[in-house]
Amino acid sequence: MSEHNKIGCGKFEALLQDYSNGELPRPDAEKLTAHLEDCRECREALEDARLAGRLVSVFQKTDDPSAMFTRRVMAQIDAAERWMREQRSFWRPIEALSWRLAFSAALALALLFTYSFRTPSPVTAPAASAVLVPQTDAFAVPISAPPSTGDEVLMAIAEKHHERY
Amino acid sequence: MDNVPKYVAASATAVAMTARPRAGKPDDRELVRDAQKGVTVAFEELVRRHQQRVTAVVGGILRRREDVEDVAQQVFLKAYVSIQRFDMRSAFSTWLYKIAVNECWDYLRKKKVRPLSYEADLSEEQARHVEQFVSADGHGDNPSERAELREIVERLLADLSEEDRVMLVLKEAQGFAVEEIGRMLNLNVNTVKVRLFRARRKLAKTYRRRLGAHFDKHENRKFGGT
Repeated sequence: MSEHNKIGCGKFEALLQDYSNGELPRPDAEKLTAHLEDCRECREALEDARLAGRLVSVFQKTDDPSAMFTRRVMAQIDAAERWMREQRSFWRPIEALSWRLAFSAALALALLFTYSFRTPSPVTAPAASAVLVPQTDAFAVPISAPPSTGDEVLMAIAEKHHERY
Repeated sequence: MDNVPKYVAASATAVAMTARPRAGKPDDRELVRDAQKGVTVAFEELVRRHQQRVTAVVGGILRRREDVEDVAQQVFLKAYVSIQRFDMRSAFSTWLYKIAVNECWDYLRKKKVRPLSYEADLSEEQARHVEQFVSADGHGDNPSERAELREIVERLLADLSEEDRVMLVLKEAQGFAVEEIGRMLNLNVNTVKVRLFRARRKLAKTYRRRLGAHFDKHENRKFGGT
């Protein structure tokens, strides 16, 4: 085999596949035929490909599906759809109930949170106002802070009343 | 009703379809669109059109005739279930063949089918059978003979990767084009060609190795001692 052929063999690899199947366009086929005359390696490769093709042909083309094939497929699809419908009809009331329960629970939780955020805690509110306004007298109600408990409201009213008279 | 396609007119469930008469035979895209809308007769027509090629793909991969139709049915069932997800970017047939290839791999995995691998040489009788089949056209027409030959070639194919085996059988036995095989296996056409060619060479080498001295006699006879 000449050096020229050795270099060229790689590019013929993909072409040999088409050549062995008779699918190579004429100009390329002629070039490859000329190459094959000189190149023993490519000739052997082609011979191998044909031998393998012959061996694999033992598997033959798969028989066409039976006449009932389409009907069987559609029957299977029909059965699968019916099963899915049945499943849906069985689970639907349970699903609806569980959605209602989930909605009620979410609503209750939302109400609970709103209530707990809106209503100030009786312990924390005076403490906060005590921090803002330093006091010397524990019983004196700071004027700037709005009364937060019932007692404070009463004391504020009493104080106002006392100032008036 | 004259110009209403046969698949539509055939079913009472497709009454709505008859309001939209179409000229000629609907193509796959039209049928797919109808099937996506829930028209089962449209899908039935798609099954009728593609059943032969899908069976050929499955047959090429499984090479076990008894399972082929069952797996092909599964392929169509899966296609029906997921047809809503088919976006028409490829041909319907390509999408279907890909489902078929995946279904076959799953089937082989579930069944844990391992390729038979015998390192021992073939018996004298087996070697003679294969040699006769390779050299003489027409040998192996007898079903039992062909079954035996299939088993021998299956053993020879065990040296190749599963994908190479599938490519070879789809090309040589089922007659698929290289382009179709490439689309099915997500491979470039040139890659398929080169891999096919290498797989063929490897198979031929395995054949020669297994037949050993027996093959030399055949080779000398065939090439006149060259």
